[in-house]
Amino acid sequence: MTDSIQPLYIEETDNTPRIDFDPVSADLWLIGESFPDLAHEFYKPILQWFQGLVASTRGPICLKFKFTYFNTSTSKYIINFLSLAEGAVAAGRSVEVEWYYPTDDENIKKNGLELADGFKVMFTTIAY
Amino acid sequence: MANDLLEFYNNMDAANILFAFKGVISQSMLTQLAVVLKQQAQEEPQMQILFGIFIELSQNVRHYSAEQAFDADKKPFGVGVVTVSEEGSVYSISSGNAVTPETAKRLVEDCTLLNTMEKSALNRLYKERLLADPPEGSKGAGVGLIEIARRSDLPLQFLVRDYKPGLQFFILNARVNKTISGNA
Repeated sequence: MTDSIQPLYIEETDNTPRIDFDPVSADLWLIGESFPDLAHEFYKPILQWFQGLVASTRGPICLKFKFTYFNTSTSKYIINFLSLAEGAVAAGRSVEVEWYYPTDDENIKKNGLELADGFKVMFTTIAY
Repeated sequence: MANDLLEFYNNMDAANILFAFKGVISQSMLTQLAVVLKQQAQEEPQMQILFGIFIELSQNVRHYSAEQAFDADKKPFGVGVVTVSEEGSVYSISSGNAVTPETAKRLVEDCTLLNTMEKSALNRLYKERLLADPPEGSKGAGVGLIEIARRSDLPLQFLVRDYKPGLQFFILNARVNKTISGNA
């Protein structure tokens, strides 16, 4: 079924992250700065792609957040990703979340743990 | 005119204004400034906090100002003023824009409530609001104000002034310490 889902790749800009969602490896990367002008316009199609992947595949999935900064409207969408991931886990899927933070930026790490708190999903912080 | 501009410049200088912008808050202005502040943040970690507050304040003006003009993409966006200044041991990040009297009333109530809350309570409220649906008319998460309050080292300062018929002018000021709390 995976051949029905196309990879999703969006180039990074000064205020939106690079999106690199590969349906074959199921490694889903979000990398860079995130303060889009209209967060819903940017993130809704990405969330829909993720839902499609969950619905039409069976293998393990890994969401990889590697933000250098994200604003509050982006936080809302991170919560949406975590919520979808939790739902998939509850339905028996293997979905993990990796949260990357610069070794000298404890704030990004703390912000990630704060968002993930309460969600029943494997959430790992990784310094780089 | 030349003299007026010098006087204007000297007034800004006397008020320790590091940066000021008046007009349509464009996304390109925000991103350009983001790059500059990010570079400074490598030397001074507090710049990261300042930057986050600046983005939330500016996006509020851009999305919610009651006065609009067209930006470079021919889309209507909010007009207002944003400044960053130094006041002794703190950086002050301020915004000003037109609002309806109803919005002004709500903003004053929100800011007053947020100022009574401890950091831990603000953090809980922030998470609660993220988990809830955004309020009606919100283009963002509706939690920008809470984020500004919890990142600030001092209470929010706010002021409503009469502006034009049917409109008021809302000024919001957030302050962060120049050095990280506890290390000062």
